Amino acid sequence: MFALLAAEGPNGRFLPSDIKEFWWSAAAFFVVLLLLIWKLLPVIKDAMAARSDRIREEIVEAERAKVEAESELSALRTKLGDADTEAARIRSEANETAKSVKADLIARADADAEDARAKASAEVAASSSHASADIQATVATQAADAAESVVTANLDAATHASLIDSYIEQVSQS
Amino acid sequence: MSRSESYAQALIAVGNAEGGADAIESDLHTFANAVSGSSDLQNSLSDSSVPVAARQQVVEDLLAGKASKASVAAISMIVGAGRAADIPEIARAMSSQMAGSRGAAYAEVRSAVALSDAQVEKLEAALSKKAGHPVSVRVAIDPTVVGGLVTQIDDTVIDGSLRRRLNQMRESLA
Repeated sequence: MFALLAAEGPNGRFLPSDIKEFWWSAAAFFVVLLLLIWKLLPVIKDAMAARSDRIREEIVEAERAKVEAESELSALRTKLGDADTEAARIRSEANETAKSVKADLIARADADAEDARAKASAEVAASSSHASADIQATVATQAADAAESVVTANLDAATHASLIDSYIEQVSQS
Repeated sequence: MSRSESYAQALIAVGNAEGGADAIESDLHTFANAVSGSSDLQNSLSDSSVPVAARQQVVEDLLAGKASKASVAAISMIVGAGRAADIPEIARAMSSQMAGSRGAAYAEVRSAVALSDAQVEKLEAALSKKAGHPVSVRVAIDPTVVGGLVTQIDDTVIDGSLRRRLNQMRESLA
């Protein structure tokens, strides 16, 4: 602005030729400056303060988010650790269950096999007993038939007479 | 008095009237043995679908020349009345009543072979001694006896048959 004033000044100096104009301009300048300071500076200050507050809040928010993220990260790490432990526990329980089921199945199979053996033995014994009884009855019947055949074949008149006389003798003596 | 006893009483009355009760008794026992030993004869004489005249003709044919006229008429009358199956029981009742009229008990003796007169006399003497009163014996041929004798006096049975001994042997073997 001084260069401009100097360029326009007829005296070749940087001050205007009319000194009043200088003073009026200076006054106007200061008035405007004062107005700017009076009106604009608070607004700028408020804006700067608001921006600072916003930035501060954003920093606080970022810090809080960071803390939350770290907390979540920690929780996730903890959960991950718990999951590994749970997985190991489940694997262990599955192994134990499998062993138990296997042992039960083996025991049941052994019991079934033992029952089958016992039943088979009982059936064999019963069949043997029945067969023995049948053979005994058959032998007894055949022996009785043979004895009766022998007795009948050897019955002659003299034997009949002897049997009858013996019967009469027994009746008379009884 | 049973129906058989009534028939026996009537036959004794007829026999006494005709003077041949003993002959009727003997012929009746002979015919009773024939009926007991042949189921075909028993069935044909008891078959109500066969006319009465035809059944009586069978009796007359069987006894022609072997029994007295009074016996044939008496047995024909029994068959005509539909009592052919009761002839053995009627014969026993008749013998029992005739023995009773003589003051003796009636004993029915079953034997596989015929007894001689001497054996019958000995048996009557032995049974009379055992019973304490006179006993009249009638012998019936029964091959199932095999050997020995079976005597029945009223409800008392004296079994000295080979059949009984064979049955005992069969039971002991079984």
